[in-house]
Amino acid sequence: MISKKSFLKVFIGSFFIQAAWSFEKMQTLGFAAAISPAIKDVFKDDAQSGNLAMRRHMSFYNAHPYMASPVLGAAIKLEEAGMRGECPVDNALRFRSRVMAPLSAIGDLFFWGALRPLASCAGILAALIWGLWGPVVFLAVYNVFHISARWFGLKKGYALGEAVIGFVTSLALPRWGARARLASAFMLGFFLAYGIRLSLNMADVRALAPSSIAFAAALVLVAVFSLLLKRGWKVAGLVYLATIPLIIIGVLFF
Amino acid sequence: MSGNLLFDAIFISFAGALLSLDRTAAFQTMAGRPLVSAPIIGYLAGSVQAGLVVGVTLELLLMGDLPVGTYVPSHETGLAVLATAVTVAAINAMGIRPFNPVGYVYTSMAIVPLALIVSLPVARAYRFADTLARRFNALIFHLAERSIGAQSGAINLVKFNLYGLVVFFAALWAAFLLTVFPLMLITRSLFSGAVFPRFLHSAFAGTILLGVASALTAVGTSRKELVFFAAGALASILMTVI
Repeated sequence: MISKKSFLKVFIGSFFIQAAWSFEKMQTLGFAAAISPAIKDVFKDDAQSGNLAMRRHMSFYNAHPYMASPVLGAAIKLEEAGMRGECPVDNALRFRSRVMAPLSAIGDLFFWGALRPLASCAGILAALIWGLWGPVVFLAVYNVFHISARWFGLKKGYALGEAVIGFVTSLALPRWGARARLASAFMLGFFLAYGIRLSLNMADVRALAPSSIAFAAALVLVAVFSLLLKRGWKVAGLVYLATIPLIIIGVLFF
Repeated sequence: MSGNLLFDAIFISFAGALLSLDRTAAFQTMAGRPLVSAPIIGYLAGSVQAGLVVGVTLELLLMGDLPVGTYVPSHETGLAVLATAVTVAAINAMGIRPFNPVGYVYTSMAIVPLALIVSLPVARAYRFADTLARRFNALIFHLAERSIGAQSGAINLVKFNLYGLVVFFAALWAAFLLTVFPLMLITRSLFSGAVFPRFLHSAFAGTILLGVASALTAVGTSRKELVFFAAGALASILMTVI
């Protein structure tokens, strides 16, 4: 068993898994550095085996950064088992290589593709309603899941070993991701309608354009922009397209 | 805000480089996202409200730019830092004060489209600096690999890993120093005593609608359009009734 101090060091190290990210080796050094306090602890009576274990962990690794935590936990468990002779010494390495791709896919889909848009939409909507509480809401929504994933991922990985993959699968993250995306779409719709209402109030033109008409007009423009984005137009290009003509019209006629 | 543009630019660049670390190198708490980093830079530059307007706009626009595999997405933190610095520099040059009737938020909304037009091409420099740091980090890996010797291997690896953090920080700070100050200086001279550009609000509305479209595309699920429309219609009806 590794000490609580080493466990905590690995947890802290998991936040720096991409500190030395490179195109050639990606997260390899970060993973090796994060696991190193535990390796030192496991092989405290056999420094030579400890160094060999460290060399093994310097082989290629890359996955979603938060998904490194269950892998780290399971790898420590497997190193302990290897040290006791209960499994081949390179079992941790094989496990790492086997789970990298599927965990990357799950992490990218859930954290980048669903949770981050959800937190962003919640933060943007909160910013529109409560001003500076928006960034706080964004950070809170995102990091409740993020920090939990790191902490419980590491704990479960260390407790379950290779079986942690079954645990990650049982969380049904893709299903929750789909729900989060629908919630994001809902908040975006609310943001647009509420934003239009606020701008009409600000510009004091409610009598000229009721919010329902303004909302319909905004929907048409959103649909046009969505279509252009789907056809491969870049956001930066569309920023120029959406703003420069309006600026020129403004300069000429107002 | 000190009033000295050079000192402000150095301070903003330092904070921007620190916030940029959160994107890839450390923590990934999303403190580097525009919605958080822009108000922080706005606060340091002298207007947290202007930062919030920039942050909301960029968060919407860049929601779908994901760091998957070896793809390095656009440097949203850098863009937020630069666009906020430019927006606040313009507001200050125009002589708008927080308690001015026109207001910081209203003015920033008009300035943001211009700030984005200027910042978008310049922000490529931050992506370039980020890419350079990632290339340099390969050297650190090879040095670390060689260092695993008897007894001290574990300690050395942590140290080498943190060198990568320093490389990321140095590359970004240098890129910010080279871009933030000149752009703030140019903005101040261009906007000095300028008339409030009211017409630019239409450009801001266009940018926000593009942002909503970009965010909706990023959400990427089959029934999103239906849910989006239903939520908007519901909100419109509720606000009309209430």
